Amino acid sequence: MTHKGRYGTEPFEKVTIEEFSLNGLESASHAAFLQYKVLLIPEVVRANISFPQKKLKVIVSDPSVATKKILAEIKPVRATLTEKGSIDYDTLVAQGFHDVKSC
Amino acid sequence: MTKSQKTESKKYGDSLPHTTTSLCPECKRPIEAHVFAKDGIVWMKKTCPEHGEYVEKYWEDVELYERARKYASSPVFQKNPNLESTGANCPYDCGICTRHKSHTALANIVATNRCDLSCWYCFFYAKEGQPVYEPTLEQIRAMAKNLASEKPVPCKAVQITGGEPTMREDLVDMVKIMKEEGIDHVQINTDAINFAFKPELPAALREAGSNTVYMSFDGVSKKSNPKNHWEAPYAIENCRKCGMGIVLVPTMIKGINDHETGDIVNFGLNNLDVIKGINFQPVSLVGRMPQKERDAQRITIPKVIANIEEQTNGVITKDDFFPVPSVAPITDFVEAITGKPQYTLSTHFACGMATYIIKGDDGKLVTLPSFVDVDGLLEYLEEMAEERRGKSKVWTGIKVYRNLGKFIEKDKQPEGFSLNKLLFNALVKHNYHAIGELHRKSMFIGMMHFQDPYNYDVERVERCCIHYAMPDGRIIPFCAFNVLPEIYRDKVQAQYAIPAEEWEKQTGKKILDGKYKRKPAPLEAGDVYKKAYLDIKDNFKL
Repeated sequence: MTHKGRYGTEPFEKVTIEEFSLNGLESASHAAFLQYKVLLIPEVVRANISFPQKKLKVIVSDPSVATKKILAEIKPVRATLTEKGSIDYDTLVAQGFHDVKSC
Repeated sequence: MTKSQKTESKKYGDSLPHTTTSLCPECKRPIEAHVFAKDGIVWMKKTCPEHGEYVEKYWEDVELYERARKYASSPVFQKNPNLESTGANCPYDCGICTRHKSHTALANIVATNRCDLSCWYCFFYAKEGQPVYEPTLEQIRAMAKNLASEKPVPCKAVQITGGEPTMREDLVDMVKIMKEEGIDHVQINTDAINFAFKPELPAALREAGSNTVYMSFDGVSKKSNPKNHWEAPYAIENCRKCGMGIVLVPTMIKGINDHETGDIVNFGLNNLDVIKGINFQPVSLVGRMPQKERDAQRITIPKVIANIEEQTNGVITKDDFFPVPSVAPITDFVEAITGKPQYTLSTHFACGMATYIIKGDDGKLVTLPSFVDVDGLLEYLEEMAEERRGKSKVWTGIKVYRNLGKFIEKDKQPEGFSLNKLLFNALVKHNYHAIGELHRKSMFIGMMHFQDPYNYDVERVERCCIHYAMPDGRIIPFCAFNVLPEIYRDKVQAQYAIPAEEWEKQTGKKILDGKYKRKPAPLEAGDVYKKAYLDIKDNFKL
């Protein structure tokens, strides 16, 4: 932990958001289980798989490592990267904190 | 059963048999589970396509399950969830999400993963060389602010936990921060060993605004309570001196300490001036465990209650216990009177049950439901909540005051105890100091069965009201945080932890130096110890 953020010392300064469209999801429970498996990857900070939208949204601390691991983990489901961007970790955390004033 | 309970009861925990979502204990995939009755017991059966079938005891008494089910209450959704998630992938979406059906009634904040003990069965505390998770005071404040900003019902009750929270030298500062942020109730979850040797610690915590110690206490013998048998009496004495209330927290394991259930209640009653409650926790079998071993240790709420009935010689009975959501009509009534959203325990009925036992001025023990028509009172309050709408508070107050007595059998009421007056002050005047009167003469006996991967029921998680605040802004239900630690507790704590060497360098201490080394002989020789265990009255003697 090196970054001083709005809510105290934080583990990351910036995180990467990646969105994938998925092909091969079988069911809602299959999507939920894959989400669980993706969350087990240490570099994955948040993950959500939408079965109706056939979409995976992940927030990762190190995309150079995480993306490969994610693609391997969800096989045989195929993923196509549709969006990529980055945000301050602070911004992500602030959403959870209801944007309460910094301390 | 009240009107609103009848209409809402079908929304979850449907009649037996029914299906729910559970987890494979091995791979944690979501799987459909069947909840059904057989041989007087409620079972859960589920099959993982990869790891096979699991059959687990869910509740050890069908009759009690059916009674508890009638008290299922309406959900309370959070108006400002901490995540945008819909919770469709529950329980892997926690945070609190928009699907969650209970507000935070009690929030845990983990102060440290260090512990002064090294219990063989605990895999939570930091072992030698493992990273140390200790949120800064700044982070603690942020978590408190987050809880207090929940809508429609702000969380006003926090438990500081660990590891062992008393390992933190700034624990008193944490309590002060909680109070500054508007947290009314601050309790410390502890093994109480530091309380035994440092009387100034509970006193300072009390002074800072904490009023309850949630104290591990697994039995009255050395064998059943190796964790703090020797130190507990001294900790209790030090709490007594500074006016700090105690709730004993026994983890119940079949074949280990279930034969001491009644003794634990009796121990509490012998210290009624300081012990305000006992919250039995049937063991949560986390980690991989073969069926035979699970069968040997598994105990559920109905069996703990049956043990209480048997071991108190029927002074406390099964009928005295009510499920947590049974109090919903009381909340509805207070909401109607005050016009403000109130604490609502919309927990799943299978999560916990409770009762009160009161000691009269003559020393006689009486359970609350043995002189109160609880069902009648709840139904009446529900009706009054409806009737209150459009009418004045004074009119409702007078009517309620006149009628409360109908539900109380005065000749059975403990000597020197007036429930009628107490209820009026609490419900109509909204004066919660009135409840202090109840606590001075009574003891809460409750139980909360935290889940494990074998008996996991997502319907229960969705309604959990005991949560954990995390430094990343999320708030996680207890049975998600601890049953899926790899994606919640351990994952986030690993992100926020620092290496052990760095912690030692920063603090100038060694992690192992904080470990407690017991010397039983002088503790056993002390008067406080002897008085606690030997000079004890048997309140349930026939």
